[in-house]
Amino acid sequence: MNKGIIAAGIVVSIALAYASLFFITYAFGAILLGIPLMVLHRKYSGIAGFVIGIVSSASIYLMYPIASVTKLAGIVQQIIGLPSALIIILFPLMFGLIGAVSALLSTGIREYAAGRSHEKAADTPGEQ
Amino acid sequence: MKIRWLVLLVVVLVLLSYLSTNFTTLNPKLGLWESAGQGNITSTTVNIPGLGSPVNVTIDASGVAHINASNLNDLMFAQGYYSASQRLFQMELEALLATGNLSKYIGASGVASDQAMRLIGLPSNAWTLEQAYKANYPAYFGYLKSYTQGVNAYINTSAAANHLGFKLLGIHPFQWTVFYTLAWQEYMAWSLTTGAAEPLQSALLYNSLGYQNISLLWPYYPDFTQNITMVPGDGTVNGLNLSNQYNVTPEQFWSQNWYSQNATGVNTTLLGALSPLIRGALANISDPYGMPGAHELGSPVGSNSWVVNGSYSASGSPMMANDPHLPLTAPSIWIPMQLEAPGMNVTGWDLAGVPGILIGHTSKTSWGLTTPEGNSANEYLETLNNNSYLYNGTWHSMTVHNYTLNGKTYSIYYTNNGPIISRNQNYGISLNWAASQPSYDLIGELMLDQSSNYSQMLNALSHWGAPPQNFAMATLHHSGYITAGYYPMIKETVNSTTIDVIGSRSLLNGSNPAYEPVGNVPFHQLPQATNPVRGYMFAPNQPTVGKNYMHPFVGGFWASGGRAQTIYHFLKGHPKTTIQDMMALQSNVSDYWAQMFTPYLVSALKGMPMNSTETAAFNQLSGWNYTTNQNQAGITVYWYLTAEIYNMTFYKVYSQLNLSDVPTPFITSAIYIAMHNQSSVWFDGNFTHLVQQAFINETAFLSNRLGSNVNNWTWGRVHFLEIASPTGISALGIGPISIWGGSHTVSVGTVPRLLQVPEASVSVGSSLRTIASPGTGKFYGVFPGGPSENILSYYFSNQLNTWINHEYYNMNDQKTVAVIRYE
Repeated sequence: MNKGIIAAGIVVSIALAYASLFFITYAFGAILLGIPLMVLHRKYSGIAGFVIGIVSSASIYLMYPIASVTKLAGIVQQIIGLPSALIIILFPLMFGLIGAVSALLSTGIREYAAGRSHEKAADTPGEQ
Repeated sequence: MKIRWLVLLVVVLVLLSYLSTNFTTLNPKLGLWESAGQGNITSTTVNIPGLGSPVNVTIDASGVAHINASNLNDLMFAQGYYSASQRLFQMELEALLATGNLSKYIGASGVASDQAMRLIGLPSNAWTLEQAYKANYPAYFGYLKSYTQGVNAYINTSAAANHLGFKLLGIHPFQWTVFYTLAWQEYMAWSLTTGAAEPLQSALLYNSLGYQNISLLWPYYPDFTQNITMVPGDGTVNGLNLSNQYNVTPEQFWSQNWYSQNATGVNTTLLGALSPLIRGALANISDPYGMPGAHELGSPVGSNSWVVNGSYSASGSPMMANDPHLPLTAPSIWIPMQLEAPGMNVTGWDLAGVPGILIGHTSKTSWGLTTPEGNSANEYLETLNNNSYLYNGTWHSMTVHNYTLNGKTYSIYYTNNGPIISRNQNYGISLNWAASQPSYDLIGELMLDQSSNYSQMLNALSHWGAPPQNFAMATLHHSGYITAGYYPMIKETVNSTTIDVIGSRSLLNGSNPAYEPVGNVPFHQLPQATNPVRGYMFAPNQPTVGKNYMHPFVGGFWASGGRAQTIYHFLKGHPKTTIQDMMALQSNVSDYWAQMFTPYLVSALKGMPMNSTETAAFNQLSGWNYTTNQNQAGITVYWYLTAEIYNMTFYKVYSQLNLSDVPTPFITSAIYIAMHNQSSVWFDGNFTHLVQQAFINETAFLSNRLGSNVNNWTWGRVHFLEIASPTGISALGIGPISIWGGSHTVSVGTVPRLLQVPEASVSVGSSLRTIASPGTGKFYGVFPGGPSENILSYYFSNQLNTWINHEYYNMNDQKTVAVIRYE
């Protein structure tokens, strides 16, 4: 795939990741960030989706004082019983995983569709 | 890619997406983390639709907001906006609690509370009051509307939904209304109402113990309190008393059996069979989320206040001190602030959700509140037949109000006396509460906020209704008290003379018009005194007024008076009182009753054979200075010794008589019996033997729990403060913190008298402390918290350590840390 298209796909993916974080409460908003990554090869799209998902999501914490984040995680730990580090990373992790699967799926669909069109072209008489 | 891999990826994606719906609260941008970014207060300008003119909000270093507006309506609007910005979740939670809608937030676990609130009548009273304000006081209704608009202006911002409580519960704030403000006022009134449960509990005691015993254990006036009433003297108010108005002496009046059929109209044999009905009433009006111990005979909830005349103070100017004891919650029910606009300049503490300043000062006046513990509610025994009640020989239909909670419909039935709070076949108990009349407390409060002299303060308090409160007042030149509010009077007969008394000690006959309320005590006859000759007055929940008062408090369920004794002796010994003396008295942690009782205990223990631990414990007790600091071991030995004495006496007998749900007697009753009858049956016939056995048990228990080194049995190891979150989530509260104080100390740390380590946490205490001297322009204050409800904010608990250390903020002299402009 053309490098320019790949770069554009990654930039759009990052933009969509932040857009979904700012406007969609649910972590499945990460499905959006995977779609532009279809331009990547299957080998890289999953990793890219995961990295973009987890980094974009975790970077939001930089908006807040780190002491407040850790204190709040400690409070939530007492309420729900999960370790505070896990509480901080849980959403980014989920966001990254969904991004990765979405990217893989998008790439897979692209490849599948491309394969089907090749097969179709091969089956058409006069185009051999 | 093969199609089966694509299908598999779709399945995984759907599963992950489904799982992720459980983690929305943890979304770094839209979840609870947003609260982490709201901790600071910085100078800024906020555009608020609906505000008439710009308002400046200056935040000082102690966290107090100084709100300056160009007119009163904008001031109320800005107060509403600022209060919501700091406490919106608390306000809405309390509004739901007060209106009986808590189950809408927390589900089935809120239903019992909602039922109690509706049965007592908080929402219906608030609704009635709102209509009364609209019809009779449109200007004050306008202030309520302005406050409401301010709250809603904040709710309409994106920041509102980011308050941590909303995020944790996954809910959004609802729009505020005047109704919620008034409902919260009703809730506070209910929390501080005497007479709702006390006559029921004393009826249970009377049924089981009989008149002689109840008189010994629960005398009309607690032992040793006769000379320490709020109004100095015999009970004469404005020249009026029982003797000169009714020609009945206090001795004649108070020698009557006020539990008898003659006093209540209820046959005492019938009353004896009604204990299950009474217990049902107590259960039905108890609020599981309410103030612990608020409605209890000999309530552990109390408050302190005192005033000093100009002639008695070092500066020549009157002074006032107040520290209301309320549940200590995180956040506090109070928000400190100054409200300034043409016609008003007041500083003090505002109840979150209610406009104005309830406890505070202007430049020329100051005031504080305590609860007087005289009945403003009474219970009536009703004779019922299906949906009818008997009154004056005729059957009348009860009115019915239906409501639905969690999909289930409930009904409340009303007689002429009020709602039926308990029913057993043909008998029921109705609650007659003074707050069912419109109570214009907010008018009184806002008039106090604008007052500049003593007579204006009295005029303001003529509007105060429910609950009656002891108002401590100090102005430039005057000081004094009035117990303002609605006290329903009932006619009683002594020596063929009919006397208008306040309250009852048991159920009244609801079918007999002779026991109906005949109006409230007129304002000029309410307990009051100005510039007392002796130089000072005080009102820490002890008897308000002496036995010769013209409207005797038959329904007077006073505190034991230990704090009153300490205050009385301190002020008596400190003529030329200074501000520092006032602070020292508010910080006082000595136990007056322990000082009285300990010599009897030591005397009983002297000479008994002791092991080394017992000897060390005895030495701690006998050498104790009666203070309750965290490093003291003497208080620990004393407290657990009296706890075990209670176990072996009152708790045992109460348990045998099925009275375990009724409070045990004051320590003063035990002291009185120890002083006058050591062979009393209450002491198993031998006080000395009882104390020795209790001491052996106690020292064995404490050795087991705290080790054999008695020097390490310090109060701080067993006595802790916990400031709970109203959500019940312990992580959002503060503590446990090792704390000073006891149940009878001025700086209070009330705990039940139980043989357990540690003691139950202190949860009620000085919700604020204020000292005011308008004549010298000196005002000090502190409270155990901060203005913010955000646990991540410095302003969540910025004043806590100052409060724990018994220190104060100079309310006139704090640096500015931020200026917020509303426009």
